[in-house]
Amino acid sequence: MVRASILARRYAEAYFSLAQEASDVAGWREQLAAVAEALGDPAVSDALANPKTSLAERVRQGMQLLDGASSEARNLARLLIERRRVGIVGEILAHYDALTDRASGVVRVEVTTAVPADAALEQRIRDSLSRQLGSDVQTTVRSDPSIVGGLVIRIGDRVIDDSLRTHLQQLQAALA
Amino acid sequence: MAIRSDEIGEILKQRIASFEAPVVDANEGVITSVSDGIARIYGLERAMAGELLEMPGPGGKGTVLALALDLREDGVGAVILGPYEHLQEGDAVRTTGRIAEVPVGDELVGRVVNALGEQLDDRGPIETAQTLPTERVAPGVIQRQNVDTPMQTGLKAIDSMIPIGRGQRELIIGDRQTGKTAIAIDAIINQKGTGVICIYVAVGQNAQKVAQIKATLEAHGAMEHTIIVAATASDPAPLQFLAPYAGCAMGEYFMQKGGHALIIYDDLSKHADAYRELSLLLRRPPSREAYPGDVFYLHSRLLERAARMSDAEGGGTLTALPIIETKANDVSAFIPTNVISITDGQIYLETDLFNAGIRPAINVGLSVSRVGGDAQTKAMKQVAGQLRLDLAQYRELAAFAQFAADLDKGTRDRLDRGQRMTELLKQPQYEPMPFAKQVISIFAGARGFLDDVPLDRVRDFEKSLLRFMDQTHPEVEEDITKNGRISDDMEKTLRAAVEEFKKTFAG
Repeated sequence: MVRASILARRYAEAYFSLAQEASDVAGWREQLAAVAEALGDPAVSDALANPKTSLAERVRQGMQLLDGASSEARNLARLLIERRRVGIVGEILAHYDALTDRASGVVRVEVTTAVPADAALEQRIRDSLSRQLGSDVQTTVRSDPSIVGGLVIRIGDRVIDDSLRTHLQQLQAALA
Repeated sequence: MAIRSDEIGEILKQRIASFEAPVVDANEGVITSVSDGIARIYGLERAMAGELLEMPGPGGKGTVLALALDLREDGVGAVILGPYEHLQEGDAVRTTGRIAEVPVGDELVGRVVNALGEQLDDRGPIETAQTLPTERVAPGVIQRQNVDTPMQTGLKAIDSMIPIGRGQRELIIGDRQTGKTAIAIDAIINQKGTGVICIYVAVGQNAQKVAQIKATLEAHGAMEHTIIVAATASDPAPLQFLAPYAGCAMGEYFMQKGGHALIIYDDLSKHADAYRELSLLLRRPPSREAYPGDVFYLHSRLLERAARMSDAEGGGTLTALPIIETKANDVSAFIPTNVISITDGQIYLETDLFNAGIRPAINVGLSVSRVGGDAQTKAMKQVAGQLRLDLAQYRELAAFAQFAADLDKGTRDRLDRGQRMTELLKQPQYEPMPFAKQVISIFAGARGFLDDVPLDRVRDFEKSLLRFMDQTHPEVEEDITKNGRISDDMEKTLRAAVEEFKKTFAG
């Protein structure tokens, strides 16, 4: 949901900046992941948002599930329960990871080939991307026969499409 | 003509050989919702305002374009410029890097196109060398020049009393079926041979009406200098919204080259309605009459692009004739008042006049051209100055004429004159008159030669007089056309000629 995304980002930004201040981005990430694990199930988040249950009772139920989590993670969970926003906790985690990447300068690239690339080709792709984009490039290579041939490279929002499928479409449009 | 099979093969070979397959480098987002021609897209952080986006086409073939109108923190709201029923949540959307633009050029003249510049007629694909953005900042003050060259519509009532100049914006406003489009079409037909390129933008009209207009223009040889941009009633609202801007860009092409163009927006009321539909679907807050808050800006930025460029900028002109439809003659409604305040004058058409047989049904009292005499030839000024006065006095007295049985001679004379001048200004459709003939015709009326002609014979008198002048004194019309004024000698000749004709006219 589009609106949820803005909210999730704001919660993630708040939690992340606290994690940075505490100089423990990775540790706080683990805590957040635990919260997402515990409360992420739709049945659980619905129950925690139940209007018939009192706030105190819902918080008690939530905290029961988060036994052993850090106090900051529990605070976040309590905030979400109060606001009946527990459902977006998965997105908060995703945004947190994106913020982590951005802060540490990591670029995540997804490369799609038509047939599975052998080890040598994969390495060439990784090296080439690292050269082009800078040192910290995390490359995922996957295969998808529907692109017929060539490569599709995805960096965040940006797509570099050199697939045969797209070229054939361009040819079809040109000949029409 | 038989098509040879090897010709087709050859063309295909060439196309394939010269085909360039560029690597696509774009931003991609996903559709999160589609309804009523609006798509909400997640991602596309780098999308530009008004950028064209590509979506998968129907049946997985080709693409459908969309316009990014709403840029938000969490995504983009885009209006879809084509069929959208096939689109689904999760479909990929790519940016094109192009802000909304249309093909422009001489190749478009004589063609019928849609709001995206794609062909609608059957004369083959349109290949232009250039495109121009549909949204553009209007020329600034320094780049412009005063409007002082006439744009002849060929209609006596307009060219004499509400003259339009090249670079002016003159609104044609009236209820439905009062002859608004008819004035526009006559103006187009009259531009034949003048080098002015005409653009007729049909917004929200019936396709049948547009086809009829095309046929009429063809019949009068006017399609050769006209472009028709059609966004008919069944086209999606985004295309109806875009069409006037597309037409304006096509007109600006000619203006920038130093040429002259005339553009007719038929009509801007439906344009405002289409924009209202888009804005409400984009969940923008409605204001008066449910129109969005920037409906004034919608029209002002369009009409400001009609201008006369200074000589340093090439001296080109773009004249605009927007059309607005009123309901029950209410010119103080929201959209009419907006456009009246933007344009340099209006031609006000009334149903009552139309039904009384006065066609063009122009209410001379309420119509005005703010450029006025600057855009008239001297010849016309010489004869038309009196005309407005005569008609104004006639209107004052016309009410009395119904009551008073006994009128003094002065009043009776003024009534007679007014009636005859009104009769003279009537004109059949599709018969625009060159300005020299108009001058001769109005001269005859203004100088009193019609005062003793029976009212129902005035039109015949005019027709026969003009024919007589063609046959026996063609030099008069030639001289007026060449010099733009009636010299003292010509006036004498003209007077004598009219008197001569009158003797032969069985009154």
